[in-house]
Amino acid sequence: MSKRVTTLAAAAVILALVVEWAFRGASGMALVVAVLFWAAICQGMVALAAAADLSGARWFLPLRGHLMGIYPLLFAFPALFLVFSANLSVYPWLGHPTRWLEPNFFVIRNVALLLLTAVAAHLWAGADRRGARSAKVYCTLYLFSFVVTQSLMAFDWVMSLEAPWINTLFGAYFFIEALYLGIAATALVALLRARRDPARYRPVLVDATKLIFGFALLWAGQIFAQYLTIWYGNIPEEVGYVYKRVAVQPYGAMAVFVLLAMFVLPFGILVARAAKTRPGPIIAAAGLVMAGYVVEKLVFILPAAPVHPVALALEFVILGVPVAGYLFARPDVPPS
Amino acid sequence: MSLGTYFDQLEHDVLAAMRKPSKLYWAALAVSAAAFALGLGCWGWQIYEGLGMAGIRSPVGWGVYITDFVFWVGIAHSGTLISAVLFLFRAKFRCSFNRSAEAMTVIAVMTAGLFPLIHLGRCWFFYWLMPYPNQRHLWVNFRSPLIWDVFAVSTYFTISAVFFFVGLIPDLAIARRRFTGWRHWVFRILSLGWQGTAEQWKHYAWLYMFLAAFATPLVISVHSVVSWDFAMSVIPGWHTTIFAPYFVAGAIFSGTAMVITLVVPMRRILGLDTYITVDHFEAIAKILLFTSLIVSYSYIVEFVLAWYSGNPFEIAHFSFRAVGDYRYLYWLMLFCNGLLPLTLFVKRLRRNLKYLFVLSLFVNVGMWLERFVIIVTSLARDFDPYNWGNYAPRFGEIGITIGSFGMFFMLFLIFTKMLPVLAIAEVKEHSS
Repeated sequence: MSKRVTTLAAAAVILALVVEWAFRGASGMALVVAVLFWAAICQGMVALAAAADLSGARWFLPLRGHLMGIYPLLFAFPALFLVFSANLSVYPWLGHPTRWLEPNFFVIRNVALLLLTAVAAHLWAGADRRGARSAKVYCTLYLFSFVVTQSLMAFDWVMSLEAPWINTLFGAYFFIEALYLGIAATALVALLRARRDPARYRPVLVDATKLIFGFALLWAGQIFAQYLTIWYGNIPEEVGYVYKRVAVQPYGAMAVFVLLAMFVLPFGILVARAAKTRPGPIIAAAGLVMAGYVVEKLVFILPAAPVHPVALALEFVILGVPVAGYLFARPDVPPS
Repeated sequence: MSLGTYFDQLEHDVLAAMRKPSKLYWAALAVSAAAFALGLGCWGWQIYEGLGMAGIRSPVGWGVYITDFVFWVGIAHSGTLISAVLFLFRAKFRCSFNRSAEAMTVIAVMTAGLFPLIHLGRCWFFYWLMPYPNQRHLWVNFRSPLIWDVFAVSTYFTISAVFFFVGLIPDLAIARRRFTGWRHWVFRILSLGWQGTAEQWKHYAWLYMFLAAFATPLVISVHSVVSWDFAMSVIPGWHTTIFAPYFVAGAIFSGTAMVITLVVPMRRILGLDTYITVDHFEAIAKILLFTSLIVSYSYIVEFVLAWYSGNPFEIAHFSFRAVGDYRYLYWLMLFCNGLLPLTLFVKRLRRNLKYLFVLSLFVNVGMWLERFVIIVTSLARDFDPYNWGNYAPRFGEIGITIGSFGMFFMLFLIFTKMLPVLAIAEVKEHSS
């Protein structure tokens, strides 16, 4: 399985390179949006497995091995960021670099951190297979690198498009969203497996959907904490960022969709107890969360930088095939 | 040992803690009561002299009193959060800590609630904070976060008290069966006719789950409101979006430390070693470590983004925190909250109760300092250099602060002798 995943990841990188070459810089931030989404799902699922491991959560055990096994795909993301680095001209700060926002340093630190996350996951999976005591150490290291990497994705990849605008919660918001997506994907995997083996996977499914419900609330709390502080402070250089994304169309309508997809609808759908085990509501809730994430990233990026829709669609599919192919394939490894 | 014998022993051991106090208990109660009396005396002095006896004056209009408010409200928030969240996550070790944590919550909210009144100066006009119809058509400012605080904290107190009481009902019924005399009558009234039938347990489980699910987002929102007392302003160091989750994490961090501070000696003095095990302490130490990491993350992000923004006011403010007049407090805070808890990565230290107790004291100090540093440094160095000025607390403020600790520990000591300190019914459930 691991070899197949590695091959698929390598193929995805090569195809993404071809797409970027074909568009010759016109793709804008398309690859960034695709990488943000698929990296959030892959890193989020491995982070969920790591958090479950460290807290001794037994409910997660039936899916643990399968979700951890996605780690070879994490090695694709540093390579994909290198592919994107040819397109750095989309960043307005390129004309007047600072000590932090300097092109070489920007690329090196982001590639290094994405690589560190992948290496930490690899070491953890290896130690776990051997039953070594160091597994806990690598598991912790993975969580650290996950938090730092997702924070840097937020601050460097997205926030710096509007530098010097700052939002201190942006980093935490991104890694919580990555976990949210990881949980949504986990629920879908559990749903698929619960059809074959309900006794084993139904409890995982119920707990995963409960977590989606909880994270919908957490997400709403985080977005409200950002919005309220900026709106109430009413500082022109801060409010401008929000104004462009809320009051200007079509971003305003997209922002409303994000609110509905990430909070209102998953909350409403999953509030009933029975909905937490029925396929329709679970697929709807998880699908909305994922769609909401993509649209939200477009709301963040589009007012500041272009995203070519065709390039985005192609890269989305290219990266999605290995992830979905792995997650929804028939299990050929015994669950740990 | 059979399950029946174990249950009998459990009831005996937990309720034995409520019997005749030892000399050590009386000594602790006397010290706490004396500290409380000192605080009351200082408050009386302030009422007589006026708020001018305190060190707060322009530009630092919020000093130790608001620091104390945020500190105690943080302790209060974490109690229910620890109890409710661990319940929702089905963490079995919670039954060693939940009763103490919930009692701590109720007592800490009462303590915290005093500080806005103390800070008002003319505390007898506290009812002006409430929206009530009056002849002058005066109305509270609903756009002020301070008014949000009044509603948030009072709602929180109500829910915490109900959550605490509902959790106690099955244990009060056990106490009713075990005690005679006046205590039997008190527990008979408080246990609300609990018989432990299947129907009662069914309703009880639903209610407890509902309260836990309701209390969790409530706590997060209430402490977010406390953080917005600061973040809604435009002052450097206060106006930042990370404040809400950062304050919530800080509250759980300080509250977990306070639970350890309370439960380590309580376990020893009341002889509850069999039920509150080292494994349970190790689990709660992990929560302490986890929340410390979140708090440290927030410290780093605030600092780095101030530098990244290039905003001269933000940079000047964070430089002032690190190398200005309050630098020693700042670095001590970082040591207590960021560095020292990292030692909990070592399993041996997580399982060493003496070490955990000492560490929890450092964290308590660190978290008090954190609030002091946030409040005072931002006010001391505003945008306008003409408006700069330092603050140092005076004797009255220090006395009132000591008094608040006295009140908290005094009430907690009284709790340990009046109510079961462990959730007996829950321990039984997990044992069986």
